[in-house]
Amino acid sequence: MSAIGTALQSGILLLIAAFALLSSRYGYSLNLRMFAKRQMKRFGYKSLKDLKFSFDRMIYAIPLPTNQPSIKQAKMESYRIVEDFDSWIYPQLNGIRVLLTPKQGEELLIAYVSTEQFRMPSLDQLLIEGKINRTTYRRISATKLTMLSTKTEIIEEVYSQIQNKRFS
Amino acid sequence: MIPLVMITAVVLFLAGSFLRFYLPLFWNKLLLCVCSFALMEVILKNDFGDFSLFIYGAFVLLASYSFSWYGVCGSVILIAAFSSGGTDIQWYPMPLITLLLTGVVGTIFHRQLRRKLALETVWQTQMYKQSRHLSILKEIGIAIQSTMEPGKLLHIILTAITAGYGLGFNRALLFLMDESDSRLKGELGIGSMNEQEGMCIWNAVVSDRMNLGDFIAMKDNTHVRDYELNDLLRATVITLSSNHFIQRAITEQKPYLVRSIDPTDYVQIMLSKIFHMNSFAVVPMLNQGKAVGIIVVDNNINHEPIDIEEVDSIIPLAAQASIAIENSRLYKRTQQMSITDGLTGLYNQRYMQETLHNLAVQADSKGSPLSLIILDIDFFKHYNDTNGHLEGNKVLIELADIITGSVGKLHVPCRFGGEEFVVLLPETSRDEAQRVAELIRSKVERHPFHNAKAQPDERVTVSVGLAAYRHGMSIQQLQDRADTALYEAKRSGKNQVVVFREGA
Repeated sequence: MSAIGTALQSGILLLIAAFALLSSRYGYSLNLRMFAKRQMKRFGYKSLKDLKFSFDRMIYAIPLPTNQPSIKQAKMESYRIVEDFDSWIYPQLNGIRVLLTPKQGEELLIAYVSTEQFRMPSLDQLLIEGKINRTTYRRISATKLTMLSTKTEIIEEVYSQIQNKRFS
Repeated sequence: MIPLVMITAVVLFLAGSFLRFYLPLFWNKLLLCVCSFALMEVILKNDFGDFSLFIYGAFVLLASYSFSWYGVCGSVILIAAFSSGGTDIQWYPMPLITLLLTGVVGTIFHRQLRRKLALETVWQTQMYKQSRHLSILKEIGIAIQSTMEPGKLLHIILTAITAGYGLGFNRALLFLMDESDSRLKGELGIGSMNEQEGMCIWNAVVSDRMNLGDFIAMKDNTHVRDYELNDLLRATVITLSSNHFIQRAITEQKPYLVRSIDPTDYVQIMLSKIFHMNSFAVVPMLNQGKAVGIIVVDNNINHEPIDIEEVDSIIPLAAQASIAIENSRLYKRTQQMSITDGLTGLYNQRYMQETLHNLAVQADSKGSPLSLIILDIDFFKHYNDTNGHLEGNKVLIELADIITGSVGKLHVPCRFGGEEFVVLLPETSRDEAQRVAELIRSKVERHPFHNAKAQPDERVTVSVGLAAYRHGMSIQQLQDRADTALYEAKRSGKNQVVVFREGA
């Protein structure tokens, strides 16, 4: 094999390695999903969607009720969720941030849900019964937090709290 | 054609990169480093000259980022000892120094990043916690403003302590100081006595998407009444003495955390027995330095250890609660004073008029009987002139006691003004009312009032007028009729009961 061919092959391998390292977050998320699904099946749940969760530990970074026009008048579509990881190569989901891009001005942090504080009664029950440990609880919580349906519900909750005339 | 060994190395690397997330962090790091080393070895089987050093450097960087100094040493030793690639590198001195320097950079980067992350995490956690507590305080402040009812106030405070939207303790018990300031009486508790019940409520809360406001609003809902807990709590009395932890918490005016039951402390043993508590915290409720009560919290469902920081966060709530309870008591007292006669303790004329109106409406709608007695002390001016007004006041107080002791639970005794008294008798026929009136009159006649002998009849007596309500009659008419009967009793010799009869 020619030297160019060898260099090309090695270059491709290096690129794959670099890509694998930089896409660790996706690998982590995929892994979480597979793990959570298997756990759910083990305890008789059809899907992760069956798990009900609580908003009770969601933290608002803005005062509620708010009368700031840029927040009050923002549409639901202006909200987005950003996952909060602590590292690129060894990622752990710390929580999710609810951000608002108002018509004018910079993006605002509206609320935060921590993975540690994201609670589900079904998992609490399993934890009390000793069927899962805290690490499993945390991994399933992280998976649930990253699901699209959860993110949508969280945005709806934040939006409704902001539109609500009284807080909570 | 790509050699099989390369394909195998890539597959193994990718598999390792994915499977590492199943492992705890240390093994995750180790697996990635091992896979990277294997891949690197496969790549460097071919001679890349000085470029090899760059690849080795990348590996040292990864190892040092993963394991700090251990990573640097381990990776450099590994490279020097096991690197069997086609590269013919003279490891000493420059390449080795270069790799070590790379490792140092990686380690510094790793440490800085870790420190920054740790600081950020601490800072963020604190900020989020404070923000949460502020929200709870704000919410509770608003809720407390909405009521003066003590029961509702206590419910709001305990909800804030126990609800997930609040401080999230599994259970909270509130004891209030009694009037003697020597005993704490169980007043209200929120929480479950067992895990099953607790989980059931927690599920319901999440299913209903309830928040703190909903919890506060649902005071009367059955599944937050916690009957068993409250039955036990209301039967619990803690006597304050110097030899138990609650007394210490009150004296030192600070929370007290019990991590395990002290067998020498009888209150701890009592709480442990009654409420199955193993570890709990007590927070004194203070208002201007005076203890109003205590709040006891525990995590009997999830058995989470109680953190002193979380207990500290109860203090502002307990302070708010103390002020609110004192205000509520003050309000109740003021309300009571506004409808009570200061001298005799009976209801005053204002209350009598309001109540009479309500009772007449009730009598009309239910068709039930209603009677009214009005009584006046005979020769009271003479008594005052002879014995002085202070003694006269004593007669009024004693007469009020006689009236209160003679009427039933439903009856409403009032001081009408001066030496005139009125008793409203709902659900009481004229004949029954007449018996009550006669009872009062005879009791007064027999009562040994001070210096009664100086009275014209040598005793203190009362004249009584009585009238019964008739459907459609105004309350003024009823009072006039009773007054007419009283006038008749006075006119025809005093110390007697006269019943108003129509056409008489």
